[in-house]
Amino acid sequence: MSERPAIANLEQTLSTCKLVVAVGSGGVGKTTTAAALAIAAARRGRRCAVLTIDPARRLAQALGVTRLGNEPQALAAEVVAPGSVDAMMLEAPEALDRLIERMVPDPARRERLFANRLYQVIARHLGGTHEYMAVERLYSLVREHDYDLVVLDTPPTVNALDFLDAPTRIAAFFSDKITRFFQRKHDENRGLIQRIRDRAGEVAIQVLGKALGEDFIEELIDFVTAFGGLFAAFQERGIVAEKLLRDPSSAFVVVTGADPVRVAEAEELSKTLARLDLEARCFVANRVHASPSVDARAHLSADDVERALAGFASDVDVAVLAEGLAGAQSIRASLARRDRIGLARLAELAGKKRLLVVPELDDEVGDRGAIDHLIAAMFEPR
Amino acid sequence: MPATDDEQAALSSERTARAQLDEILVSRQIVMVTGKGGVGKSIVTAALAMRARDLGLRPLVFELDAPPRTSLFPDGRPAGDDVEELAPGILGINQRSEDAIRDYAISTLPSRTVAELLFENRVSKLFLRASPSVSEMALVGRVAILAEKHGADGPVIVDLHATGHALSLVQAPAGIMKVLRGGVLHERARRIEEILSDPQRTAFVTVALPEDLPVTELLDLRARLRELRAPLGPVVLNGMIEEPAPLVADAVLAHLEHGPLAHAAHDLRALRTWARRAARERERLTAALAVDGTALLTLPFVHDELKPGALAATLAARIGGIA
Repeated sequence: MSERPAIANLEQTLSTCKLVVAVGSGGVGKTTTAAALAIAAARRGRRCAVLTIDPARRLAQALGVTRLGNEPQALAAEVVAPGSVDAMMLEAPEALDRLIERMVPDPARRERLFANRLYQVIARHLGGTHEYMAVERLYSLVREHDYDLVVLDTPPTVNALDFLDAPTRIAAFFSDKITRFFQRKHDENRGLIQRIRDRAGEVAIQVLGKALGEDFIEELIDFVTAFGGLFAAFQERGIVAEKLLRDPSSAFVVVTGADPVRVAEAEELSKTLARLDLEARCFVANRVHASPSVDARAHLSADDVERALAGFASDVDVAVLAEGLAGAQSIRASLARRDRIGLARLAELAGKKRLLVVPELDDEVGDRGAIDHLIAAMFEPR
Repeated sequence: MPATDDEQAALSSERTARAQLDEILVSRQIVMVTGKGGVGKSIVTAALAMRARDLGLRPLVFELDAPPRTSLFPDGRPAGDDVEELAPGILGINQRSEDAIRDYAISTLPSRTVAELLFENRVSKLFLRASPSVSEMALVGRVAILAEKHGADGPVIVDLHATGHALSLVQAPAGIMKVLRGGVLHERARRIEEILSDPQRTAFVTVALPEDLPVTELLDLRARLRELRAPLGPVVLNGMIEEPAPLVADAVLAHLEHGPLAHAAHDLRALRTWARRAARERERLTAALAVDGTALLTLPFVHDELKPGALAATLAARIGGIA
């Protein structure tokens, strides 16, 4: 249930944007929302891809697809017609190996890289790689495939900055400035200025060597040498991804709950976006508790229940029922009051044009049902 | 009413979980609290700290990049950049990950000059910022240092981020050791890995809500932590809701939904759906945990609009077995 200007804004976002990035803290339904946005756009005729980089493998469950992986899986036509949605999950080690296979045609050089311990650690063990590979994947989805819209799911808030910042870091890491210090020198005929500039690198190598062990520096030099010409390609991808995130055809959607704690996190997140000179196009408040009992004051009595049951044949214990009803009302009212406070703050933050409100489902509907509910609720005028 | 075998087993599991949590708080230096986002890790962390204090300890709560928020403790204050007392008998710090690398390097490297050079040199600064796992290593390193410093007075209780983050923290020392075969940092990583995998010194407490995805993710997380030889403690199921008036037939509610009590009847039916789902998820979790005899502690959904401090106090009492 959303204000009309917010619905119009969402409508426009889904029909014109090329990239939608869902950000938010953990457990607010970000992955489900990302899938819902892609499906909604597909139902408006667009050919979409949805990519989750969350290592927790949740999207498959929400989509009812048996297993998501690096390869795109098309969602059933009856769910997405007349458009289409390809869903995929990033599996970083595999994705990096495959990318290297594509970029390094020479098998001997490729094997040397795969055998390098630094590469193995980067590819297989380390958390940060997901962000790097997501950037890479984003690049290839947008550049090499012909999707109208790519919807990107991101890791929970605390890592969102890491993610948004990843293209810049990648570009910096793979820039000549850094990597050339670690490359074996083939050419000693550099000019004077060049050699003076290299002093910073020499000091860095000495310091890093002291701190990290000489061994490591050797390994690093091997790695950098084996990676060779790939740096330029990686750097280029980092720069392109960075441009992509800043393109007017890209939009950020902040997904949150209405609980004041979640709203405070969403507020932090929108500040982070602002610091990076980015802006949230919409806020989706998920699982908002509402209850008509929110302002109920009269306490429900056994007599009220007796009257309401008049004419209904049942051996129900009226006192127990009355207590159950009053208890349920009190819990639901308290949740609704809590969410009303959070939602008011969110409305201030987002304004009429940006806030989409999705009520908590009171019935059992399953994962696919939850996605349909999400889509319906976002587009339902309040 | 005589309890069924299942109920007996559940009660005994709850008692075991309480005893294990107390034992962990008393004897471990590091308690990692982890689970899917939104399951209430911070409040469970605070409750564990309060329980530790009740046991006569002086715990230290370690938060990572926590957003600005009100204190998690009654009459307490939020954690800051340095270790300080958050509430009587409870220490805490809110570690900024950007500071962690520098703090860790300064406290680990042989000379402060080398550490400072690392951060002043534009190339190594960029290198450290760009290298994966350096910041994870720095964070677990900070935890280990604080545990060495404060461990004798009480545990360092770490409020970890979402499950992916917990896993990358646990894997960081091995990653570092694979790359750095010698030197101070290798040695340090080896010691930290030793501490993290030592059941005498560390325990991982995993938290879920009685919902599909959090339970699935908790089971997945535990399997992966076990592969990484992380010592697993009991499981905490937070936010359990009991069905109100379970003996009232659905048909009665359906009838009431068309009368003057429609609102209340709708509330009861919605709560019933929620509670039944929660019961189903608890059953699933219990069955999965029974395989290896892991104990489960259930904490109630607290519906009063309590301040975080009051909420943590309520849960701490439950952990202590005081209803």
